[in-house]
Amino acid sequence: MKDVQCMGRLLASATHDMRNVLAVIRESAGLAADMISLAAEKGGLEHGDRLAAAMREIQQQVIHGAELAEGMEYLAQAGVREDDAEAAPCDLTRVTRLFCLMAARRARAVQMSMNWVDGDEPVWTEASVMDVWRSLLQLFDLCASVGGKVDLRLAAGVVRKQEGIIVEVTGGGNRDLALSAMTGSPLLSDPLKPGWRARLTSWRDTGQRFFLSVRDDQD
Amino acid sequence: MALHILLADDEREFVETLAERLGLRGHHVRVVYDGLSALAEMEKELPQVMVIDWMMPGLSGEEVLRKVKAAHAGLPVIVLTGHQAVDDNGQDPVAGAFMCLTKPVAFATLLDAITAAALSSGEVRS
Repeated sequence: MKDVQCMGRLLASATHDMRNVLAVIRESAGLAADMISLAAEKGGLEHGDRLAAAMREIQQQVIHGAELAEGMEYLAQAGVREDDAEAAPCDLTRVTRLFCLMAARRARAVQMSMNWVDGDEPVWTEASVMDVWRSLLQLFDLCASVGGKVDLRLAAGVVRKQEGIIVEVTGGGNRDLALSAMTGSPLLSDPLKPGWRARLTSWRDTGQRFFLSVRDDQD
Repeated sequence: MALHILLADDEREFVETLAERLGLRGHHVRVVYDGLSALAEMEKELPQVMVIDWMMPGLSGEEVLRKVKAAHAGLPVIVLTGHQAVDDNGQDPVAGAFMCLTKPVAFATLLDAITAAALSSGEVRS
């Protein structure tokens, strides 16, 4: 068993447990909110509004925790399937969303923001989840290398029959530096694994949007 | 509309709190903590809706679902799971369930699902 598969199995198990923890917190906060509502019908609790607001905040944080758990579980499954010749194709729409969620904390540390465009339809690619995420991390590092302060918007899409991720630099103090770095970057041409290669190319309005594709280099 | 609901989940804190919240809304709720007890409790008095965890010790949710469907095909079963319900192949591992919801599910979503499940079975006791 490879390291990544070992980590994937343990991470999947822990994520399952974490969902249960979140479920208990969510129901307990919900029950507390129910009790506050019942008390309100009988005159109300002291600081009842504040308590109700606190319960709502707990619910919001649980939702955020559940999103992160989804990302971790997806990552874990990708690790388990790393060497699986029959590995499922990955949905770039979902992978992009989960990447933005999971990298958000690290992005804030370098004053970057990463938003995603939620597509209605999945965009399937034969590339592995790990390859796509590795490419997105390289893109992230590229923007961080110019000092961060870059706002990115990512959207899965198909351009000229090739599935990929449309990368738009929407703002930030180092926007121009990031655009320059991305325009001439050889970084994303590094081989991912034999036969596969990520490519970052200008798309449509040069200098503002790029197309990140991960594809079989034999094509 | 008060419903007879059977909940089965080995996460005691979760399932007991859930039962309390459903009870506050007028539903009649029974709680068990494993798959075998779920089947035994079901045979004592048929519930209108079953809500089961997918990963339970002893008899798993999958086995419980299969046995419930074999004995009472019309009884709607809602599955709660700590895993993503449908993988990227689009495969549904919980075929036969009325609905599969991923924890931590919003209470309102579960409540709607329970009501819809009861209505789907065509047997709603008042």
